[in-house]
This record gives sequence, structure tokens and C-alpha cells, in this order.
Amino acid sequence: MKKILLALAVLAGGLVLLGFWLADASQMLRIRALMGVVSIGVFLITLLAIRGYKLREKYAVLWLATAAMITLTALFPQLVDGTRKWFGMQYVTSVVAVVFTFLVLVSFHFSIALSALNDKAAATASRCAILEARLRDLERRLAAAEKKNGAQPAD
Amino acid sequence: METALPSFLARTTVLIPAFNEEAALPELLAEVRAQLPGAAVTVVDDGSTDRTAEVARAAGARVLRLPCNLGVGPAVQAGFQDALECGAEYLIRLDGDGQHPPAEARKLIAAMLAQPTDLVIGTRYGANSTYHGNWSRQLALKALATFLSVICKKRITDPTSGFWLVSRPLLQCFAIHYPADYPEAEAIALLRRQGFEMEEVPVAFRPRQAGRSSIRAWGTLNFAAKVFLALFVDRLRSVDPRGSAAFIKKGRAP
Repeated sequence: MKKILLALAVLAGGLVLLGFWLADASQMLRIRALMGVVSIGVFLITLLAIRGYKLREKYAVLWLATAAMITLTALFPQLVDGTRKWFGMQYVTSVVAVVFTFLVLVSFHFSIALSALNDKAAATASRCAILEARLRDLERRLAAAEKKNGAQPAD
Repeated sequence: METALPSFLARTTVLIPAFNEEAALPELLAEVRAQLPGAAVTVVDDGSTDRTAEVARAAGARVLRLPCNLGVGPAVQAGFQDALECGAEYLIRLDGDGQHPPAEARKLIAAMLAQPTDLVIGTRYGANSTYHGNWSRQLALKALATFLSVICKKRITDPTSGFWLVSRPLLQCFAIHYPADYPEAEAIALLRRQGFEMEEVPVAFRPRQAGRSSIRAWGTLNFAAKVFLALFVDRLRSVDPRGSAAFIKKGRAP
């Protein structure tokens, strides 16, 4: 917890410094800096979630890829230049469109994973209920058998 | 019918899915014992927060207690799986709220004995029906029944009735696949696609004895829209050979 708070404090400090440094920078540079900060945030949160066993690696990969995608668009704006030219969009719009598309795909993937998990949970709960009913049957029969044996006169 | 009834009931499980039905269950279970003597009775407690499971056990029913609320589809499927494992040849499904009078189940049994089939459904909308829901419900059910009749190539009047008599081969199919969200209508479409047969028999339903319906009046059209979507998507799925009537009945052939 202390480490997380320290990381957040460092991040906040970095953001303040970045804000001062970018006070006179162009709008383009400020947007790229914002994208960079967002990508670092996504990386950190994902890594912390994996570390705390709150997120499985197989799902984390997509989030890490999302962060990498945002970083790439921040560092190399020319990567989205083709998209911008093709659709006639401004840089910011292109970035938002790319990130949005990627996040929609990620959300869709999680919806599928959630549905599968729902089916598995239902199957497990059903099996659990059936086994509990069988266990009760066995306990009742055992108790009846023990009572019957106990009632028999000893030789 | 009367002579064949005891041996039929000896091979039958009565399945009652219930969610917070402690008020209605004691009377219903007593009625089941009186009207369907010799049948095994299983109550599936779908994660109730009241004393549904205790009340059912006290009344002598076998209870499957789901650890959390899964909804009517998975609850009924758990009952199907359990009945299969217990060797049931037939299964009568009654709602836990007392809407399905156990005495009326005899009509389903009579239909099954007269003409063996895979599923007999008790319909509220027979020739002498006195059942009336509100207008939105009537309209949605009518549209659903028409659509289902077309895609199933079979006249269906009550697509949301849960008053069923199911034979073992169909239980085997439903143990593999049973719809979760809108089970009755989807299940009818599914069983027809898997090659099973069904019949409808007019029965009298009662008003709910306690609790409240899971489908509110304001949600009827929303419910119907979702069911239509589910039925449409079902058409896009391929038939699972493991659950097909041909495969299951071939395995049962002597």
C-alpha cells in the first residue's frame, strides 16, 4: 500500500513538473504528453493488478497492448498520420479514434470472457447443489442404518 | 389412465424451481403429495434469502440449494441433471408460486400416455380458456407464439408456460443445453431444432398464491424483444449432435 501511495505521489509530482515544463509548449505537444501520462498510468495499474493477483496475465496482455498502443501514438504521431490523411481527421481525433476502437475490442473480449465465466459459475453451482443433496441423502441413510444396527440386540 | 398412473408416477420426478417461495411451498407440496402420489419431489432453491429450502425439506422434498441466485434457466437445468442422475423417466415441472395446480398435471400425464411424445406443455390458452393478462402481455405473447409456431412448424399457443411434462430423452438434451435467460420459449425452439416432438394440452392455471412475477407489466415488451432476439440468434446456431433426438434415442434403442 505504501509503495502504491509512493508511486502515485511520484506520478502526481511528475505531472506537476510536466505541467510547468509544457506551459509554453504547443497544443500538439501537450496532447502527446497527456497520452504519454495515460499510457504510463495504464501500464502501472495493469502491472499492480497482476502483482496483486487481481488480474490474470491472459487478460492483462490486452491492457498492456492498449498502453503500448497509446505510447506509440504519443511518441510517434506519424504512425497515425496515414489514418489521419485517409479519413481527413486532425491528430487528436485520430488518436481518440484509434484508442476508442482498441478499447471497444478490449471490452468486447471481456464481455465474452465474462459470459464464459457466467456459464462456468452456473455449472459449478448446479453441481454443488446436486452433490449437497446427495450428501444429505447419504447422511440420512447412514444415520438410519446406524440407528437400525444400534437397535439390534447384542450377541 | 387410472391403472397406469401409479407405475407412471413411480418413474416420475416433480421439479419445482423456487425463489423466495416459503409462503406458497407448504401448500403446494402437500397438494403434490395428494395429487401425484409416488412421484419423487425435488425443489430447486435458487439462492433464496428466505426459508424456502428449510420449508421444502420439512415437507419431505429433496432440495437442491443453489449457492447463489442463477435465474430460472440454470435452476431448472440443475433439476433436470439431478433427475437424470436419479434415473427419472419423466419429469413434471411446476412453478413454485403455485400457479400450476398439481391436479392439472394429470392431464399432461394422460396426454403422454395416450400418445407418447418428448414434451407435453400445459397451455393457458385452450378453447375454454378464462385466462386474461394485461393487454401488453397478451399482445407480446400472441406475437411470440405466432413467431415460434412459424419457426417450429408447429402450433404453439403458450410459449412462456413452464407447466411441462418432459420425457427422459429430452431431459438428456436439456442437461447439455438449456437456455439461461428466457428459457421456455428458447427451449421450445431448441428442442424442435434438435428433432424432438411436443404437444400442448389445455390446463387451468391459478393466480399466484404468493410472491410476485419475475416479468413486470412495464417489462413485457422489453422481455418480448429480448426473446425475439434470442430466438433469432438460436436460428444461427448449428444443431449439437450430442443433444439431437436421433443421437439420444439411438443410444436408448435395445
